Amino acid sequence: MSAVQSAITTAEQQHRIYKAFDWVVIPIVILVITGAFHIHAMLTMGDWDFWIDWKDRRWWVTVTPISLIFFPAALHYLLWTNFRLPFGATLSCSVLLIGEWANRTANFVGWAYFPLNMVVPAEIIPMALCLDAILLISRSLTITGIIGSMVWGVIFYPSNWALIAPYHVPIEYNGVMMSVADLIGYNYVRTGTPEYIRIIEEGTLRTFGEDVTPVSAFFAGFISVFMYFIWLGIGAWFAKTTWAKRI
Amino acid sequence: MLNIKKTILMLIAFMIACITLYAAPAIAHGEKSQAAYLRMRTLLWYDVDVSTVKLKVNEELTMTGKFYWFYDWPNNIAKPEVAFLNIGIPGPVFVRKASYINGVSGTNSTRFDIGETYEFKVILKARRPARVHMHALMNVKEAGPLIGPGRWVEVTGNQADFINEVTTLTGETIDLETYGLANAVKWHIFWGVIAAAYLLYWIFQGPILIPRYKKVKLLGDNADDMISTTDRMVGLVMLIGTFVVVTWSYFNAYKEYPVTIPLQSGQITIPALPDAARGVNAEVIDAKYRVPGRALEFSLKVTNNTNSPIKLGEYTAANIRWMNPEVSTAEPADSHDPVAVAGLTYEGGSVMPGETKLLKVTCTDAAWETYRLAKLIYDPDSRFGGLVFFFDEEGNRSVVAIGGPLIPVFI
Amino acid sequence: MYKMVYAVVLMMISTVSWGHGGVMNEGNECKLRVGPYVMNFSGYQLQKNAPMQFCDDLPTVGESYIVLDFVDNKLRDMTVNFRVIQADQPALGTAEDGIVIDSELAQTPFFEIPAKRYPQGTMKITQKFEKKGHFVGYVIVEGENEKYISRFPFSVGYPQAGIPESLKIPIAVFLVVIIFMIWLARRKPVELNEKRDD
Repeated sequence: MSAVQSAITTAEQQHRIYKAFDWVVIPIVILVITGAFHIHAMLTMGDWDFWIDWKDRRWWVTVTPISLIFFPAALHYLLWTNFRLPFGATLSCSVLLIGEWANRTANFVGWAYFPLNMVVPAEIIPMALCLDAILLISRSLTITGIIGSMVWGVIFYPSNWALIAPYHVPIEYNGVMMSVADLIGYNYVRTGTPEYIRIIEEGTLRTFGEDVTPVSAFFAGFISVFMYFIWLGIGAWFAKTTWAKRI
Repeated sequence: MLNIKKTILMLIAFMIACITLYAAPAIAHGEKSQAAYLRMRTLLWYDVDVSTVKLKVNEELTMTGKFYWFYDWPNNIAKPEVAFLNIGIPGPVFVRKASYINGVSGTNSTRFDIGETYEFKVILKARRPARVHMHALMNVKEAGPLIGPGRWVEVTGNQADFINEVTTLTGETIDLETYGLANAVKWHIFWGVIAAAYLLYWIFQGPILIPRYKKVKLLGDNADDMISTTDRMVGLVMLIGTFVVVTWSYFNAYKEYPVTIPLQSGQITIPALPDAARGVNAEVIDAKYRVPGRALEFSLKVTNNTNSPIKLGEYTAANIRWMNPEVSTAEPADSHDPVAVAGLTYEGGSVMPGETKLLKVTCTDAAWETYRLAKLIYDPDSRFGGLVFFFDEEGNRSVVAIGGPLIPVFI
Repeated sequence: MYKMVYAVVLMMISTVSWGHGGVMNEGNECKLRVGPYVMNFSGYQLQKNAPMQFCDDLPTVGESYIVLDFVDNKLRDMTVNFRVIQADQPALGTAEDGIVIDSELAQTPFFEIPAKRYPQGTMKITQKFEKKGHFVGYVIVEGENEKYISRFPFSVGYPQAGIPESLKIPIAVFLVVIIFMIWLARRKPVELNEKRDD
């Protein structure tokens, strides 16, 4: 006689159980992604995202899309192949932003008293929407990887310009020309973050003439394509039940 | 089967162990935690002063002083090829309105020369009420912070009253405290709402995990059919909409802020001050540290090439000053300012013009122990350094850097 | 098994700080508290243990130095009186060690450094302990309107038994790892989705 017997007998009961499963699992998954993605983001693009005077035309534009495509790619694998749900990028980027806003208001402003406008996170939703939309339309991870990741990288700077343009207005200060962002960075003393620690554009990309941003943006898109496929693979590797068999 | 009670107990024990381990160290802090040779043989600060130690929000404070890049720079510390004059405070209690090194604005990072002296001035505007220990500070690339003397400073008033206004080159007067914030928040809310709508569109399609998983497995190769035409239209609208909004916002920002510049960086070189030794040479012949006596004893061969007799008035290292009150006096500025008011004595008297003489100098104070300088004798490179100040009869000062091996004496 | 866990935890807590009355060993600093003020306490026995620094208890008899370095500059303006009284029992290791006993202060001390100001903030006490024994030290600081007394029992000539301070944490870590491994070794493997016949 079998000891295992299903408690579900009607379709309605089944529906309730499925709903309950959603309610239990989705919040947990969201919390885990928020935490994990946030740690990942702080470790890989930390200061570029923290400070207004790090958001330059070359490094910030290159580093942010490349390091942020990891989680959307892995989640695309998990959610698309198993559930045909095309919102991995939007989900991970929105919860990342929630985590970042909590971090900036509680830590940077609440504890360290930096002004909030100095530590506003970069806008990453538009690129996530594009990545998900391309997956949804094409229904192909390959096309998403090639076209979507390119769009993801390229659209990052234009979608942030509306936020950061005011901070690039020039100011004459103590006989030196600075942007507003530079001045905020200079005014608000950061004991552990001296000026030279900023990894930002110095000089120009001479081979490409003066247009730094388009080159950086396309480069970011190009590398994002590779990163997307690498992280699809890593997502596939982790999305296995093997890991839960022996604890 | 897992024994739940046992496991929980083990986990609690392990957590307590971790917490206690974590809480155990971290006793010394701030300046005292830096190695003694690092404080004595890198950047030597002197004449550091603040214009006031008590001020209201929006009032200004000026910190002035000099620093000397020690000639016998430790080999394992990066040289000041790139450095930045900073202020050590917990968060922006002040905003730095200006900083100058030898009169040149210190907004950029700077290159300095070993063995040279520079003077600095920092103007700070009080922003937040607090009582803080404020340090002069030099960040050196790959060497980290080199901490200067500290002062207790108290700011009173209300942070809400603080304003930090500047005028841009386009003629607009802005408050840096809030500038651009409303615009950034507006965009974050706008995109956040769209992202939420898209996620809810999927989540509200009923239970999504188990049924969809089952369906994917059931349909196999045809699983893509689960995406309906409506879904794909939603995707298309979203993609085109995003493109349109991003493009519009980009050009709109260009229209609103037609004049913009990239972030400014780069580096400057500032010429040093003239030699502060003014013709006095001093050289350490031998040096001993008396462990139970808390005293540094050294013989100093001094040559006076000036035309006035000179006397030794002060020895300073690691922001601690040993004064010879017969020649030069100083009082501690506050409870944490290490000044040994009568810490320096020496045998040998005045050094006449043209004379070379051996002076026997003793610097005694508890600071050797309480500021952890005596740890020097346990360093791999037990050399000390510092500045000696000579004064002639008119009160003119000669500053000479000295240093050499230090030998501990235990009895 | 549980006892071992407790022992490990207790041992770790004990590395954080221990004290005999006014003298506390806090991590890497030996501190003497007198009212609101703090001095650094260092004991040296230069003939036998040259560069070693001790915190209150001195391991052997003979020529000894005790150096008090004032952490708070305020103490430089106050007089400091140091006296040692013979006792018949070692430190209890409890809060009682720090309670000042008037009858002890009234006794003729074993030796005493009369009240004096130390503007250089360092006070060196030289004493030859002829034979081993237990003592009580008193530090009395007196300023214009304030007077604080600190009491600390100490022993001379009783080398500290047990595990050296610096080894406590590594040993504790090893023990935790070993206990965990023993627990793993004894545990039966867990099979998920295991069907059992009742």
